[in-house]
Amino acid sequence: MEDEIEKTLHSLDGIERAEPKPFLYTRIQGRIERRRADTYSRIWQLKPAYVIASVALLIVLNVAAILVYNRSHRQSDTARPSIDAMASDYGLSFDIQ
Amino acid sequence: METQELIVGLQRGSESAFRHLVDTYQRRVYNTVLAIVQHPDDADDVTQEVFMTVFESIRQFRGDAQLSTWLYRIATTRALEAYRKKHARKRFAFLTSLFGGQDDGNEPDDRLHPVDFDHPGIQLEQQERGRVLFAAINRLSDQQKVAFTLHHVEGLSYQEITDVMQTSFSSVESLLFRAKQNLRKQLRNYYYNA
Repeated sequence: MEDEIEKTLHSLDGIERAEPKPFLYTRIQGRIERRRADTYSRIWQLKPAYVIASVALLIVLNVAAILVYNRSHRQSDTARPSIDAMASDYGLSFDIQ
Repeated sequence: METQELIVGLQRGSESAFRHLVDTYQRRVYNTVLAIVQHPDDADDVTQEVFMTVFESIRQFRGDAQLSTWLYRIATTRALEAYRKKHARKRFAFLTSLFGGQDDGNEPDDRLHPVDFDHPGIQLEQQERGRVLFAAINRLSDQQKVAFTLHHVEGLSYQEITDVMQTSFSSVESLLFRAKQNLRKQLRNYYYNA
């Protein structure tokens, strides 16, 4: 048995290098091209994220505009009585019959 | 083309330098990978990945190691990764089949049922013994498998293996000694049960 083991252990003596399939370089180039194309398509896949971010920004701007408008409108309502009093002092107020 | 010239060409993105690299080193890379993954199609796939890794990371190559040493290091790392990934997938498929899941049945777990692998470079009269030896090599630890493959399949010296594995000379000696011991033990079991 020991003889069998030694013979098997030495079965790789004189082994020659295995050859890859032909056109390895061409296949590697093809793979590089495919990986590049994948990278570009991944950038395109990111586009919806940009769209969502833009829509979100638009909504924030709109809400901000509404809030600013409401605040300024409320300020003009509180200023109204003093304007009326000043108008009556100067005899500028009138009632419509 | 001189090695230094080749490295400079690769770092500049020269297509002819890359072609030269593939032409020069493809057999060494493929042969190393094949001995580890023990499947020609997987070896072809991993060899392509090795050269793509070189293409993508050649700028990081500082020249502190030989180009061939660096290639062997990438090749052995990638081959071990591919081997582990494939067998983890197979073990998972085996487990799911145990729990009643669907197993395609096309690819048996060759750790449980070793697949016969014939290295095309082995002399015809040694093919049968080579098949038994490669099945035993498959059961070695990763480090022992790499050291044994580089020495006995690729013909690298102990010093070259030391550089590839980035370890000490005595560690390589010890790895090869233990690899042979483990192989003897496995072969003894094999011939005892045969």
